[in-house]
Amino acid sequence: MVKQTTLKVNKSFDNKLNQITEIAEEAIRDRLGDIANYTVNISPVDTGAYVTSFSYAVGAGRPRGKSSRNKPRNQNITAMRQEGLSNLLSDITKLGELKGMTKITLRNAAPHVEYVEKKHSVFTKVKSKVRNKFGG
Amino acid sequence: MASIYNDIRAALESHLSSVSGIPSVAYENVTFEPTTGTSFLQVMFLPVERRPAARGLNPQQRYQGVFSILAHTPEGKGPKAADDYANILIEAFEATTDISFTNSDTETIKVSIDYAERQQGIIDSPWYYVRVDIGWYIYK
Repeated sequence: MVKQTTLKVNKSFDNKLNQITEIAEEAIRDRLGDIANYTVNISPVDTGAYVTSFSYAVGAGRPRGKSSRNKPRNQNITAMRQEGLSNLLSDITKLGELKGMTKITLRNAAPHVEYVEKKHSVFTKVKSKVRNKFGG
Repeated sequence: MASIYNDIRAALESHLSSVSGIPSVAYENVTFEPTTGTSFLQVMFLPVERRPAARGLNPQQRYQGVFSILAHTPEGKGPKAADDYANILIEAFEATTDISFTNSDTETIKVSIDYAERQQGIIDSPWYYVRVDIGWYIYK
């Protein structure tokens, strides 16, 4: 003989839970967008290699990393920052379902990243902002 | 008042100058010629945010940012010297430390330290440097 008990989940309750998950995911994507916007706006632009080398990653994978070598200097700052932002926004779109994700990493794999960081402290500033504003 | 930034910088730099066991300090926009083979610290004052801390008219503001200190030591001599400087700095600016500073108008401010952490050592010939980031905030 089998004993069993069944808990019935109200369909509307289930729908509400899904809705809450969706709202939370949207809020996270908005925050990631804000961080992306801030990051490109405080990044220096010369050849554009640095600002277009940011990526969001959730695991292993090849991050963007462009060299500034032999690239023309004095590039259009707004256009390069826009390209950098588009890269990051595209990464956010590709993240898929955020449920169960424990971390999302902002990376820059340009070969001269340390040189830029020493002079402009981009990651230091982003980290400071993320710590408070984005609840890190 | 916007001059709060001058006072915050002064508070942090004064506190640094009172720390013993550290080499010469290269301050921002002050001529400093490092001597190859001789350690030095390079400081950067990085304001990050100024936001109302409360609702309503004329709210108190929360200011926050980072005081970065790069401990430069001679390249090729191992990491110990830079590590030692980083340890001294982290201890001097330990989280929850409050730094008081009285400006020329005899107004005293208190800058609070949120965190102090170091990064990995990096070679930038002829130096090897370790970055120490000190997160600060103040309500004013």
